[in-house]
Amino acid sequence: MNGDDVVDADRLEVEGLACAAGVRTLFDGVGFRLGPGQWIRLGGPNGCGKSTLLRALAGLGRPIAGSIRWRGAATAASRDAWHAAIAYQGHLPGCKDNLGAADNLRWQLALDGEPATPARLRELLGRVGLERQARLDYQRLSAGQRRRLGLARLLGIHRPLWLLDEPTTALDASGQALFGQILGAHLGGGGLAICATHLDLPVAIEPIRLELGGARPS
Amino acid sequence: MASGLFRFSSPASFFPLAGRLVPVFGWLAALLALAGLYIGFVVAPTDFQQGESYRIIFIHVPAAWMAMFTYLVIAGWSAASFIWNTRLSAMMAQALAPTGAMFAFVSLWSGAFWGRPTWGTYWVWDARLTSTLILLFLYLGLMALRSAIEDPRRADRACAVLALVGSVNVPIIYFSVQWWNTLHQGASVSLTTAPKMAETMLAGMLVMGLAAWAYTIAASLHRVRSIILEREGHTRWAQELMR
Amino acid sequence: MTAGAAIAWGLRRDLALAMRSRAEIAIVLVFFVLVTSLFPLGLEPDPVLLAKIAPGIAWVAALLASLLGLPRLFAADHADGSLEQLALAPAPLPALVAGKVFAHWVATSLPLVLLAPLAGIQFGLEPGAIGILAATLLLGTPVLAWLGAIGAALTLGARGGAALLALLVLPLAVPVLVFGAGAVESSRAGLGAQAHLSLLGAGAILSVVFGPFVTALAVRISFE
Repeated sequence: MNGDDVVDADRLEVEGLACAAGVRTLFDGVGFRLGPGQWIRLGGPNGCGKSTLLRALAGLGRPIAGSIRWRGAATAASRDAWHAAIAYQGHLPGCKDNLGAADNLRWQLALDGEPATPARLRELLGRVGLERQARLDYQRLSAGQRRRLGLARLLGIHRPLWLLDEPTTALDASGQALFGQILGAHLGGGGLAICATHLDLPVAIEPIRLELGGARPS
Repeated sequence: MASGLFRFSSPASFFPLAGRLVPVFGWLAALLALAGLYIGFVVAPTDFQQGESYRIIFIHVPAAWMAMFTYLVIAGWSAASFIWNTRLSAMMAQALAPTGAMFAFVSLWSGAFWGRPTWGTYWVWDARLTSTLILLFLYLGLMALRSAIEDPRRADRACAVLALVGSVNVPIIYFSVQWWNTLHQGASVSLTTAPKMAETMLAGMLVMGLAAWAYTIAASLHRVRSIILEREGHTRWAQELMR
Repeated sequence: MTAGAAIAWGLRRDLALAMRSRAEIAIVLVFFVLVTSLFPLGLEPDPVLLAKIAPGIAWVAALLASLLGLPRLFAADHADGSLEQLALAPAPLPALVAGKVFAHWVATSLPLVLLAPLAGIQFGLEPGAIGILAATLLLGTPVLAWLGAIGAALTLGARGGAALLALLVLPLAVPVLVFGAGAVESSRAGLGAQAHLSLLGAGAILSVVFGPFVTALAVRISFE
C-alpha cells in the first residue's frame, strides 16, 4: 500500500516460510507483505498446505524455515503480543457441544480478553442472525449456524489480523453476504486478513492472491 | 571448541563420523568384555558363602549401572535438543533408548539367575531389582511414545519432555523404592547383600561396566545411522550415498 | 489476561462443563469402589489380611481411577478445537491449564478423598487409619493429576490410547503409591505417618508449581 517503514503500523511481513508434514516439505519460499486494509486470498489444490500455512502463522505449528514479522518484530519472540493481534478460525469450531450458543460465545470472548455483558452477547448474536438460537446447545446448531457463531466472535473482538480457514463453508447466500459485509468493514477499518478458500468471497476489495504449490504473490 | 563440535551437529556430517567410530567402540567393547569376564570368571576367587553362582553379578550389576546411566544420557541429549534445537540430539536420544532398555532387561534377567541358586527364587523384591524394573517401564514408555506419534519432529520433542520429566523422577523413584524396601525388610533376603567385595571383584565389575559403556556407544551410533537415513532419506546427500 | 484471571477462566469453564457430565464423572468414582470391592473376592475375606492390604489396594484403585478420568482433561478440547484457542489466547497457557487441571481434580479426585472412608470400612480399617488414608489421597491426588496431565498432553493425537497413557504415567506415580500406602501402614504400626505425609505434601507443591509449565509445553508440542 505504501513504502512506509513506520514500525508501529500494522504490517505483516513473511519471508521464506517453509513447512513440512513429516518428512515431506509442503511448501517453501513463501513470502508476502500485508498492510492495513489489505487481505490475501490463499488458494491452491487440496493438500497443498493452506491450513498448515495459516496454522504456522498463528503459531500452532512450527515452520522449518522462514521469518514472520508483525509490526517489525518477530512473532516468535513476542508470542503474547502476536496472539493479541490475531483472530484464528480454523476447521475446528472451538466450541463445546454441550454448552449453549450464547454461553460458548461468552466463554470465548472472555478468553479473548474482551468479556461481554449479556446485552452485548444478545447484540452480537442479533447481528449474525442467531438471536433465537442463543440458548440452543451448540450441537443442535446447523453447520451454517455454527459458522455464524464464529462470525459473532469476530465481531466481538478487536484484532487487527484475521486468519480464516475456509470461512464461508456451509453459509447460505445471506450468510455469505453477511460475511462479505463483516470482512469488508474490518478491512475498511484498517484491518488485515488472510483467508484460505477455494471460493470467491463476496468482498468488494480486491485481494492479493497467493497460490500455494505455485506462483509468488501478484 | 564449540564450532568444532557443532560442525558435526548436522546429520549429514555426523553420519560418516559415526560410521568410523562404530567399529572402534565395538572392538573396545569386545576386548573389555573379554577382560572383564576373565577377571570375573577365572581370576576372582570363589565366594565362601555363595559358591560360583555369585559370578553373575559381573553381568547383573554393570547392566544395572548402564541402564541407569543411559537414561541420564538420554535426558542430556533431550535437554540439548531443546536448548540448541538440533535434530541430531533428538536422534541420539532415540538411538540410545533400546540399548538402555536392553541393559535393564539383562539386569533383571541376570538377577533372576543369581536369585535362583542363591535364594531359591527367581525374583526378589529388593530395592535395586524393583527400581530397575520401573526403569525398564520408563524406557518402554519412551519407545512407545516415539512409535505412537507419526510426525518425527513432534515425536522428538514429546519424547524429550518425557525423558526430562522421567529423569527428574528417577531419583525420587529410586529413593521411594529404597524406603519401601527398608521398611519391609523381613528376612533381609536381598541381592544387594552381595558377598564382601574383594578388590578383584570390584575391578571385574568396573571393567565390565566400561565394556557395557563402549558397547552402548557402538550400538547407539550404529542405530543413529539407520535413524538418520530413515529420516533424511529424501535429502540429496542421502540419495548420493544410496546410489 | 493475567495469570489469576486465566486460572479462574479455566477453573470456572471446566467446572461448568463437569456439571453437565456428572454421569461421566460418577462412573469414575463407581470404578474406584468396584475395584476395591473386587480384591476381597479374589482373596480370602480374612479381616486381618484385608485391613493389612487395604492401603495398598485403595491407592492402586485410586491410581487406576485417576487414569480412567484423564482423557476428559484434554481430549475433548483437542477434538473440538477449544484447545487451539487456549493455545492462541493472549493469556498464559500454564495458567489456563492450571485452571483446567484444578477443575479436573475437584471433579474426579476430591470425591475419591470423600469415598476413602467407604473403602476403609469395606476393609475394616480403624478410624485413625481411614483418616490417614483420606489425608494421603488429598495430598497425593494432585501429583497424580499433574503427572496425568503431562501424559495426556503428550499423547494428544497419538495412537495407543489409554494403555499408552497408563504406561507413561504409572511408573512415574510409583513414589506416590509408596508414600501414600506406606503412610497408612506406618500409622497402623504405631510409627506415625508424619514423614510420609510431609513427602507427599512436598510432592504436591512441586507438582503444582512445575506441572503447569511442563503441561503447557506438552500441549504446544502436540500442535506441531
